[in-house]
Amino acid sequence: MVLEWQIVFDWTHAGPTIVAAFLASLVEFIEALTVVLAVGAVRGWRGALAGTGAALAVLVLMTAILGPAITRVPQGVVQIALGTLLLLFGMRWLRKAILRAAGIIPLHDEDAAYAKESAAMRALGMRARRWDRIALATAFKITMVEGVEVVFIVVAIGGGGGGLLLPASVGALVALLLVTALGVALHRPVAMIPENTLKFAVGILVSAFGAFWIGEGLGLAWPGGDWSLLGLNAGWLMMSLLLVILCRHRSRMSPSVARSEA
Amino acid sequence: MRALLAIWRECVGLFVDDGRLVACVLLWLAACWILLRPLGWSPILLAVGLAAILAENVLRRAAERS
Repeated sequence: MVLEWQIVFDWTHAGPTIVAAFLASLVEFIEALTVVLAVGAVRGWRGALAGTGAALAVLVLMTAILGPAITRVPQGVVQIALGTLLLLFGMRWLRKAILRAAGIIPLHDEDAAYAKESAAMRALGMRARRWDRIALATAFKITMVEGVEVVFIVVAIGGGGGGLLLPASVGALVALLLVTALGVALHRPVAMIPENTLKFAVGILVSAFGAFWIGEGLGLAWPGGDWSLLGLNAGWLMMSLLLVILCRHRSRMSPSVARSEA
Repeated sequence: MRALLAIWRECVGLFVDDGRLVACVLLWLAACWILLRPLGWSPILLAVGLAAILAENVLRRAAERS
């Protein structure tokens, strides 16, 4: 019975940790894949894959150094610092996902991003025979830019509570394998996955984690203990869905062209 | 130097889209730090305040379309 409760207790953290890390990483890896595919198709696969591989190695090293280092800082300090960053990150995604779902700002289009990147690669002229430096640098840069966000999410979500780095890393790794498999199988951008829905879910999960860690770091007692994390997720979800409806209503009342927001 | 600035901008961009949202969140967290802990109030107030800040932000943004 005690063991059963221990497993349930642990899963209230580990479950959302895996899901949040998986979904957030999925979004980032899909965006990176779009650019890597464009680079590979236009400028050759050798440079594109080498750049991607080098960036992934740097990212794994960053996680291996940052993750354990954070566990040496007092937990209260880590929870407040990482909780604040998670909250800012999560609320930024949630805000954008709500505005996109309500039609206030345009949705992200992977096919359009692929076409734009392919055109940019072609405009750079002839490619080198063996190692194309442009392909290598572009693939390295995009994988680093998107991957740093993944490292942040893994370290921030995993570093706030004891033993959560492993579940967070597993979530990110599964996302990487899935996106790689899709890239190899499809050879085109993964546009069929509803990116805004993923961002919506990640925004909710990460914001809930952020608020929870800050409360814990401040020494406040959440009602229901760790179970309140599930309550926070439910609360953010209901509020966000309500906000989409309210924003749609507001935008219908004041029609004009949707403004782009980076 | 230019590369360092680009990296810095990318890092800031992870957390900041709308400066007003960030400022409101940080102010609310500071207020919670000062008030909630000494008074022993429920952390639910923390979450409710954050939800209110997000609601105000997106509804204002929706109204700005006009």
